[in-house]
Amino acid sequence: MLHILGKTNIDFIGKRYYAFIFSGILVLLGLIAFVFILTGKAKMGIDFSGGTLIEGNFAQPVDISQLRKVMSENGYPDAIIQELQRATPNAFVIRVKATAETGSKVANQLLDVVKKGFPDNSFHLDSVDEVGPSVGAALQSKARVAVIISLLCILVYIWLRFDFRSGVAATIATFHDVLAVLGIMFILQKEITLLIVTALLTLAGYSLTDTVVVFDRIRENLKLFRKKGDFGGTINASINEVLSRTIITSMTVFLVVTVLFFMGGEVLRDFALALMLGVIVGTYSSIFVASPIVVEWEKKSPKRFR
Amino acid sequence: MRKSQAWLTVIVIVLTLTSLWYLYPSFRLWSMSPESQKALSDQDPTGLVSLQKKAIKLGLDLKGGMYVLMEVDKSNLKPEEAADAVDRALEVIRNRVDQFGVTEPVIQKAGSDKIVIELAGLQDVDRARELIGRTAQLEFKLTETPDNTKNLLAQLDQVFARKIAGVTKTVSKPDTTKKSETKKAEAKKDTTDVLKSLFGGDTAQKGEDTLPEVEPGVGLSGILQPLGEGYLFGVEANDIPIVQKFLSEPEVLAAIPADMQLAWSTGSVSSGGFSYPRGIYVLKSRVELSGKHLTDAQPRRDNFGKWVVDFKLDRQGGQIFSAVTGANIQKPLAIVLDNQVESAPIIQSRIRDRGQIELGSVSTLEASRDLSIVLRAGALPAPVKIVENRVIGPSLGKDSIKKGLTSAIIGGLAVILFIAVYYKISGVIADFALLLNVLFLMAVLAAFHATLTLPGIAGIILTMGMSVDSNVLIFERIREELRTGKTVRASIDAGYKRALLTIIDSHVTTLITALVLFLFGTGPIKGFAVTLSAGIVISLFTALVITKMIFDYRKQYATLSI
Repeated sequence: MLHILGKTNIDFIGKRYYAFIFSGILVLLGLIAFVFILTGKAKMGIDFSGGTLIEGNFAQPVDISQLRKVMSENGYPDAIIQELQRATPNAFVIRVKATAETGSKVANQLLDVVKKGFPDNSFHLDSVDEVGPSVGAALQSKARVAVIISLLCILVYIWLRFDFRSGVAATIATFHDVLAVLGIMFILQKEITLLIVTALLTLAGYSLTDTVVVFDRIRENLKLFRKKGDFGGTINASINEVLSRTIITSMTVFLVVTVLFFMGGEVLRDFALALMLGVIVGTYSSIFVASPIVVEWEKKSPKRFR
Repeated sequence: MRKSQAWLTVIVIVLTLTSLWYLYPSFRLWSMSPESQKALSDQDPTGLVSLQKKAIKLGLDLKGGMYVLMEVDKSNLKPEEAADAVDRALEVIRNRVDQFGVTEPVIQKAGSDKIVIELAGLQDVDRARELIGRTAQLEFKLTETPDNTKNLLAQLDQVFARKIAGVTKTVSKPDTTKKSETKKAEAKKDTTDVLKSLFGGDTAQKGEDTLPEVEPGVGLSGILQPLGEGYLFGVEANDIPIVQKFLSEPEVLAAIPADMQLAWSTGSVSSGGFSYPRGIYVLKSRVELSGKHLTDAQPRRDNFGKWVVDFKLDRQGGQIFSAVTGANIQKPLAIVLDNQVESAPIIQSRIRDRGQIELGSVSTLEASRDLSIVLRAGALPAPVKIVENRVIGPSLGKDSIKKGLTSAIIGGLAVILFIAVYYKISGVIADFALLLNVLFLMAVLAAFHATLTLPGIAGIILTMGMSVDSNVLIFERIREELRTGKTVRASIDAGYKRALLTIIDSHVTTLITALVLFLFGTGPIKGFAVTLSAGIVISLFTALVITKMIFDYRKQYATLSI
C-alpha cells in the first residue's frame, strides 16, 4: 500500500486557540474586503460595477502612454488601460466607468477614438463588454442573496443530518472560508468578478464536503466511544482517521485547479486561483475551525454530541 | 455472476453505447475542418444543420458572437398594454432576427421586463444591434399650416425669453452689461451663447460676456432657418445640441399644444440651394395612418438610383390612405419613423394601398433592406433600451476553447495517473469510473441541448476532481478495514457500506450550492452550475455503483491491490 500519511495522531484540537487567532485574522480581512465592496471602493468586475470595456490588439506596437494620452484627450480621462500578456502581441484592454448612456453606444465611441488616434495602425477588436449601471447593481444584490441562501440551505441540511450545533459550526466554517478567500483576493488586488463569486460558492460546497466527512466520522466514533467520555479526544481521533482521505482529495482537487490556473487562459486564471486558495482554506477549516467550535460549545454547555 | 449484477452490467453497457451515440454528432462536427463543413453544407445543407442541432452547443465565450440584454420601457403604456408588452416585443424581435438570417439565435425573456438575445458567430454586430433595438414605429402625419407654425414659434420664443430673464438675474453683472448694437446677426450670436450657457454645449465665452435684451423673433426662431413652406426649418451642426436640449425642457414641452409636434429629420434637409445637416418639422400630432396596416415592405431602387422602401397596405389601411392623400393633394405628408421624419414628400395624387418611403439619412441597399425587415416584422410595442452588450470575437473564442480543452485533458490525465499510482489496480478501476463519468456527463449535455461554456469546462474539470473523492473515501475506508484484520471481501463490503452515507452527504451539500448558482447565475455561470450538478449526480452512479460492480465480479479475493 502506498501511503502519503501513515496512521497519525496529531493533537489538532489542542492547537485550536492558535487556529482561532489565525482564522480571526482571515475573517477580519474578509470582512474588511466586504465593507470595501459594499461601499464601492473594492476593485469590482464590470459585471458588478457596470461600465464599458473593449479588448483588442494593434497590428503595430503601441506605447501604452500614447494610448492613454489619446483616450484622455478625447473625453475619456478616467479610462483604465492595461496591456495584456497574450499570444497575440500589442493587446490592450480599455475600460471606462458606466454612465447613463452605457448600453450600446459607448463601446463604439471608444473604438472610434482608438481608430482616429492611431490612423496608421489597425486595431482588431476581440471583445466588448458593456454593462449598464442598473444591471451591475441588480447582479450585486443577486449575488449577495445567492450566497446567503446557499449558506442557509447548508445550515438546515447539516442540522437535519447531524444536529443544530454541527449545523452552526459547519456554516461558520463555510462563512470563514468564503470570507478568507475573499479577503486574500482583495489583498492581492484581484478584481471581484462574477466568476470569482462562482468560485466562492463552489469552494463553499467543497469546504462543506470536507467538514461533512469529518463530522460523519465524529458521529460514528461518538457512538463507539460514548462510555469513555473524552469528547475532545474522540473528535481529535476522528480527524486523524480521515486525515489521509482529506489530504488525498485536497491534493487531487488542488492538482486539477492548478492545471486550470496555469493553462486555462486568462479568463479562468483568477477563478482557478480562488479555488486553489479555497481548497487550502477549506481543508484547514474543517480541521481547525468546524470541529473545535463543536468542542468549545460542548465545553461551555455539555450536551452529548449525537 | 449473480443475476442482479448481470443486469447491472447490461445497463452500464447500454448507457455507454447510448452516450457514444449522443456524442457522435459532436465528435464528427468538431473534428471537421471549416472547409469540409462548407463542403457538407453545399452538398447537404439540412445534414449540416441537423448535425449542428445534435452536437453539444458551444456558448458565446467559446464560439464568439453577441449578447444583448435589453429593457422594455413600459412607462408610457397603459396597464392592459404593459401586461404582454415584453412577450410581444419578444415575438417581433424573433421575427426580425429570423429574417436577418442568424443560425440558432437565442431570444429569451429575462425577468419581468428584459429580453436576452444571443447571436453566435455574427459578423456585423452594429447592424444587428440596430435592427434589434429599433422601435420601428411608422406613422404618417400631415404638416402644420404656416400660421400655426408661426404662432408656435412665437410662443416658444417667449418661453425662451423668460428663461433668459431668469438667467440674466442670476448670472449677469449689471455693470458689465454694455449697450451693444442690436443687429440681428449679433443678437443671434449672443442668443446662441445664452442658450449654450442655459443648455450646455460648447461654452467658449462665459461670465463677463454681455446678455442682450431679447428682441422679438430672436430666440429659437433666430436659430431655426425657415425652409420653403414654413413647416420645415434647418438647423446648423453647431446648434443641434442646443436645440435638442431646449426642446427637452419641461416648460418648452408644456408650451407646445397637444395637437402639434416638433420632429427632427433623420438626415439633412435642403431647399432653394441651402442645405442643413438636420431639420425640424412642425407636424400635426394626429396619426393619419400607422405601420400596423403594412402588409409588406421591400427594398427597391427608384428612378434616380436611390434605395427606397416600397410598402403595401391592407384593405383598411388602403382606404384610410386613399382618403388622406385625396384630401391633401399638393400638400406634404411626413413619414415618421420612431418620432423622426424620414421624408415628407408632396402628395401628387390620391394613393391607395402602395407607396414608397425615401430614406432620410443614408440611402444604401443595407439601410433599405434593414428598414424593410423591421417594417415587415412590425413595431415593438414600446421602446427598448440596451442595458448590457457583449461581443466576443471568434479568435478569442477559439483561444478559450483550446486552453479550456488542454487544461481539461492535462488535469484529467494528472488525476488519473495519481489515482492509478496511489491505489494501483483499485485506482485503475476508479479511473475507469471517472472516464465513464465524463463520457456520461458530455452525453447528458448533448442529449439535453445544454450549452457548453468556458466555466462549463471548468465545471467538468472540477467534477473530475470531486468524483475522485468518493473513491478516495471508499478506498481509505477499505484500507482501514483491512488493517483491523478483516478479510478482503468483508473489507470491501464494509468500506462501501460505511462510506455511502458520507458520500451522499457530501454530494448533497455540493449540489445545494450548484443549484443556488443555477438559480441566480446568468449565461456562463448557469453553464457551470449545470455541468457541476449533472456531474455530481452522475458521479454517484459511476463512483459508487460501477466500481462496486467491478469489485463484485470476483467473489473471493486473496489479496487486494489498493
